[in-house]
Amino acid sequence: MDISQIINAVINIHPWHTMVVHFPIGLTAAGFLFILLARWRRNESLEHAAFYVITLAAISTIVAAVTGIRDNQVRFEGTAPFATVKIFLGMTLFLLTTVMAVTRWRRREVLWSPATTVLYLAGFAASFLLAITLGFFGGVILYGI
Amino acid sequence: MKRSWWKTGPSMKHTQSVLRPSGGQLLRQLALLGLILLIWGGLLMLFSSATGAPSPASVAAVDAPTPTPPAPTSVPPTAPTNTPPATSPAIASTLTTPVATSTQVATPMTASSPTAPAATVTRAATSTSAAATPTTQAVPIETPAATATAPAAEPTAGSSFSGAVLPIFKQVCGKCHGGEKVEEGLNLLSYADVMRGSDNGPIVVPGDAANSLLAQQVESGEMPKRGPKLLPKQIQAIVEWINAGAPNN
Repeated sequence: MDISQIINAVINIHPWHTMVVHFPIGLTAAGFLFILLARWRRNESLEHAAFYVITLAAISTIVAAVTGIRDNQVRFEGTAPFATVKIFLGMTLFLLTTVMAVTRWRRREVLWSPATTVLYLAGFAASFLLAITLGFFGGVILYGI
Repeated sequence: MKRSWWKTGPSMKHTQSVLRPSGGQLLRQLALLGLILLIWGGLLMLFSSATGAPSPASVAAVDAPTPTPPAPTSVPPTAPTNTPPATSPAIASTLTTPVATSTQVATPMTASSPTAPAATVTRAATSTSAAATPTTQAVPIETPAATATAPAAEPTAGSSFSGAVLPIFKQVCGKCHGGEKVEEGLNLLSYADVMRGSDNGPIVVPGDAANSLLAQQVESGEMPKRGPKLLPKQIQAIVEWINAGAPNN
C-alpha cells in the first residue's frame, strides 16, 4: 500500500465520526460526575474539573458534528438515518455545553449560588442525556434496531 | 495571553457552608427549566415535522417491541436443496477440484440408499472452461448419475449459502437489495434472485470469484455503498461460497 492509498483511505474512506463521538459522550459523563461530586463534597477542585471538562465537551461536539456531516456525505451519500434529528440534538448539545462553559467562566459562583445551582446541575445532566441519546442513534445506524 | 483568560478565579472555600436554595429560588429554577424544556421540545417537534425526520420518542417507541435479528446460525435452510450435506463421505472422497457450472438440475431423491442424495445430484455441464471439468476422481461412486456430474467442491462452513452468505445479505445488503427496496433490480434475499443477478446481468460466476461482480464489489469496498463495510471474514465467506460453485446449500 503506497502513501497515496493511505491518504485516500484517511480522507475519503475511513469513518471519523465513530471515533470522535466518544469524546463528547465521555466528557459530558465525566462532567456530570464531577459536578455531582463537587456539590456533594463541596469541593472547589472538582468544580474546576467539571468546568474544564464541559468546555472540552463543547469543543469536541463541534468536531463530532463536522465529522458526522462528512461521514454522512462520504459513506451514506447524505442519506444516513436520523441525520436531521441528530443534527438538531447535536446543535442543542453544543449550545448547552457552550452556554454552561461561558456562564461558569463569567460567573464562577454559579454552582454555589442558591439561585443558579439547580439550573447548573440540570445543564450537566441534560448534556449527558443528549450525548447518550445521540450515541444511541449512532448505534442504531451502525448495528440496526 | 493574560492570566485572567484561563484562570478560573480566586480560590474559594465552600467547606464551611453552602446555602441551599430556598423554596422560591428552587421554584423559579424549576419553572425556568420547565420552560426551557417546553421550548426545546416544541422546536424539536417543529424541526421533525419540517424535515420529515422521526422524533426520538417515536423511534424509542418503535425500538421496544422489535426483536433482535436472528443469529446467522439460526437461519433455516432454504427450500429443497440439491446438494448433499457437507459431511457426505461420498462427495468428500470423490471430488477434489471445484466444478464451475452456472446451472443446477435437481432430480428427485429416491432415498433408497444412504448414498442416494449424493447420487441423485446432477449438474448441467454448461461451462466450457477448464475449471468446469472435474479433474480428479479418487473413488468412483457406484451410482451412475453421481459419476457423471457431481457437485463442486467439499462444502465448508464458509461456503454455505443459507448458513454463512444469506445472513450477511439479510443483515447488510437487504436494506437496499431486498424487501421493499430493490436497487438495480438486484434482490439478495433468496438464492434464485442472487443467481438471477441484477439489471446489469449476473453477479455470480460460480467457481470464479475473481470474475464475479458480487465478489469484486464487496472486496473493493464499493458495496455496501451505505453504512459500514463488510468485515474481512464476511467477504471471505462470500468468496469461498462463489469459489465452491455457489451452491444452494
